Amino acid sequence: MGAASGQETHARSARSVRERLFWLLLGLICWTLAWRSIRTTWLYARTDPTWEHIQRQGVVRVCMDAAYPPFEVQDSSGRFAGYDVALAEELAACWEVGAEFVNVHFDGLYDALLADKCDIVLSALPYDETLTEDVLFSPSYFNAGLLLAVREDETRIRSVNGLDGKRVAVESGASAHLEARRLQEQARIALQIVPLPTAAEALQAVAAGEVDAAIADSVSVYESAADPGGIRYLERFLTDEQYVIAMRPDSGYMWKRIADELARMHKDGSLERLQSQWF
Amino acid sequence: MPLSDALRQLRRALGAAARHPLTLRLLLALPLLWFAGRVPQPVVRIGPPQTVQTTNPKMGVHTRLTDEVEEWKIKRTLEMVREMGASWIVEYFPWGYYEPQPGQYDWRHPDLVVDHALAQGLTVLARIDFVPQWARPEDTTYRYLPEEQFDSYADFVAAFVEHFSGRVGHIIVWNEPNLSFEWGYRLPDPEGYARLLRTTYQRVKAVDPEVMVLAAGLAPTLAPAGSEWGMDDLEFLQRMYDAGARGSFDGLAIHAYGWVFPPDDPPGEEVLNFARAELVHQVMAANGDAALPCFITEAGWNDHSRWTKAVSPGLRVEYTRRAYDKALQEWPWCQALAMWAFRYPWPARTFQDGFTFVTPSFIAKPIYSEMQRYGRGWED
Repeated sequence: MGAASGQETHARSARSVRERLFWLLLGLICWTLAWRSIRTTWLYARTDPTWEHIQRQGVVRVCMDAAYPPFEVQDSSGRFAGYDVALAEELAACWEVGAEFVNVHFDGLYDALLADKCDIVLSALPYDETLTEDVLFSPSYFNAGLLLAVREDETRIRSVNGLDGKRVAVESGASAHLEARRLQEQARIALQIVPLPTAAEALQAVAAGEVDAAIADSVSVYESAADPGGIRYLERFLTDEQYVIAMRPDSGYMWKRIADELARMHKDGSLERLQSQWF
Repeated sequence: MPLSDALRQLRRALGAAARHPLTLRLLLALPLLWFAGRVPQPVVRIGPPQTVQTTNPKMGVHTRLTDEVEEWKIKRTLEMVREMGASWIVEYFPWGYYEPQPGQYDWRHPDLVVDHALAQGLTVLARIDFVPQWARPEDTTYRYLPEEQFDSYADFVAAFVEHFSGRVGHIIVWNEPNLSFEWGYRLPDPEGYARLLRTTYQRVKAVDPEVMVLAAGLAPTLAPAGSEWGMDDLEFLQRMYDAGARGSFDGLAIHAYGWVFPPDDPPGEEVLNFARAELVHQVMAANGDAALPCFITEAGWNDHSRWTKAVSPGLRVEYTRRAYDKALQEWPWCQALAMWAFRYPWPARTFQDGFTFVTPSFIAKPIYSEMQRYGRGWED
């Protein structure tokens, strides 16, 4: 009886080991297939239709709505200029091709890309999580979110929690104004909002000591902070507005090239240098 | 087997089942399963019918509830529209959302929007476009409507009219067909659009002769002749008439953005401003349609600080107020003026947010408060 029971236990245990091995093996096969697919599609693919088109034509076509300084504008002679334009030219130079700009209204940017009017969209384009099935988004190259600016010698305000009882300047009616109201009404921070006509005036008011702090978009803050003896800003963003580059869904290799170049530019500081030329 | 034996076996089996340890657990779990299987009852009620109190019955806004999932947000948006003093809303009803397969309609979401709007005392103008996958070739955009599918579009609009009979009285056929982007990245085709309009008009009238069919609002544009991106709106409208569009619409939708110009900036063929609407109406009058009503279904100013076509928030308030006044006092041919856009379901995180009156989280912008003071007659 005891021996029979032992044999039964042994058989059950062997069966259990076999089952585990089977599932382990199946899992390994699935992971191997997935990894091979990722490698061939994303990591070691050497081309895709967009990349081939760019190489064939010797030019990368960039869609943008050139009405958004300092990122992209078009002057009366039709010349494109701005941070995004410079970034596109930098990418094109890395790939040893030219850059050609196509001016499209913002509403039509994605459709222009999908209708093959251009190869990429680079147009102060915010990341849109609702479109990730329709296009590929590069990693972010710029955060245009809101920052908190204080006087250079201000040490007590280290976060929004330090704004309790402080006078905070914002551009009237702008996103900074709404964020200040959100802090007031939803985060229950008893700050006093001082609405001013522009973000630049809000930041000047900080430098002049008329208010304790200002909330403004990062571009305005970077521009003001570049002036000596004025303001500094807290590194932590109050809101995120990540700008990305969009590509067609079959542009896996193109995505990798852009991601690699952006990573390199982040690392060697060239992205920051490019940015400082514009704001 | 005798019956008594069978009964005995059955009783034995039932007894064994009753003694099984799982039986009690299953019995205890049953109420839980019953609760879990119940469909939750709606927690948002339409509510009693409201009336819009306004000093300007032409005030309207373009809402964007198409992608708004939560019913309470739909209701709150429309409540805020009413509370501002606006009587009209323009809403976008994408064909592709509501007829995913030919002949299979899903009206649940548009029913919510329309019923809540009506409960708030609002009049709905329905813009219908967005081609479902099954009605267009592969690798085309959702604005690509091949001519052989004009009948399918018209059938859908007729089904919409039938479903919303007595609830939606204005239909806008397509959107900005003078832009290649809105025409599936093909060259704008006023003659083709005129055929679409005629086909749709006939189908709608066969279902409900009382419903007003509006020709699409054209994008104000100065595109040069032969441009691959668009066609001048005045030229497009004239070519629609030349193609026999007269009699195929009961009114015209107009888009009248002010960009950086005030509402009283005079119109000119080479200028894009709010008063360009007058030139559009003149084209109608020149073609014998002076008596047809117009509905401005998109208009307004943007107050984003970085966009070159925007104005300051203060100017936006001033211009918007004046535009509503102008429509009321100086444009008898204009029945409603709907500003773009009341609220987005989520932030666009770019200059487009500068068009809205209310944030996605329902924080009223200064433009909302000021237009409410104007619309409700709360000004000094």
